[in-house]
Amino acid sequence: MKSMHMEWNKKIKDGLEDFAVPPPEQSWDAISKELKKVQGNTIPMKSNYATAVSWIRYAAAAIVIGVIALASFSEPFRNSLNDALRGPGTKAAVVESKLSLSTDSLTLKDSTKKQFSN
Amino acid sequence: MSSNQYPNDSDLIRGCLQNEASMQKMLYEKFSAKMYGICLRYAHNTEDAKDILQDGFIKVFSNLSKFKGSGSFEGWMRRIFVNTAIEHYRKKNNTYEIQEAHEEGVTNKDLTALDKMAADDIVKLISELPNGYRTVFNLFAIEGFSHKEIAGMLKISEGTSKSQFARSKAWLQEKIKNHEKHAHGME
Repeated sequence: MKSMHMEWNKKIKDGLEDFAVPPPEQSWDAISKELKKVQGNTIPMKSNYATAVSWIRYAAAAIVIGVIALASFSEPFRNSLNDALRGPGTKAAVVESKLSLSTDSLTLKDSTKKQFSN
Repeated sequence: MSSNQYPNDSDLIRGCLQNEASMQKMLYEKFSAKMYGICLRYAHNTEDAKDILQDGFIKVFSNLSKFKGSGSFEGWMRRIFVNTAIEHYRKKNNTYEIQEAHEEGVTNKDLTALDKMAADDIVKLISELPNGYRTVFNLFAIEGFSHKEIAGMLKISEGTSKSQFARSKAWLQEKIKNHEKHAHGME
């Protein structure tokens, strides 16, 4: 009796496991439309974000290159850039400063003076 | 187009992952008949089957990157469609029970009647089963899950799964026998 049950189950499984019926023609249209909606909600948003980030990166790189190029060729620009960054009156060219020690400015501590006098 | 005229599964998957519409359509064309067959087995009518088919394919395309290629691609798709059908069953779970089925043994007559019946006629009969019974019947008899697994999947007890299968089987046996009698009467 059990084997009859098993045979019935087997026949059902074998007959229906690979049961295939072509779906109605318009099914793909509905699926592709829905798929575009789903993809439209995810992929383009990501790609828009990625595009915006890369554009900002390109723009920043172009500005840096432009400033470096202009600064290397134009002294007035270099000076005004320095003014802007460090405050007015600073020249971009290396300022030759003489380091001088004035004795007037030397102040010695009392203990040191004693050492010298001894 | 027969299935061997389509690109192999890994090429189809690669194309679909690059969102190539032609590859998506080819993947659909290659597998849609088998997947629609599954949908019809689990659905009460063709409208429900079309809904399961649509949801199933959207899930397949959206989760393609998760397919690791360890088993067959068709098997992976089948699991997605069966799970989608179970989700539909949960949404549309009706409570009516089969009362008229009398569980009897299987005889040679039952087996002969089954042999003589076309698969699409059997599927039509299965679609007449109440949602819960139909789902349990498909999962146990065709997909090969155990009653314990089915109980976990459908959030029912193992006993309910067993009794629903036994009743749906008895009900089907009766319908198949009647179908054969009717067919002989017509000859």
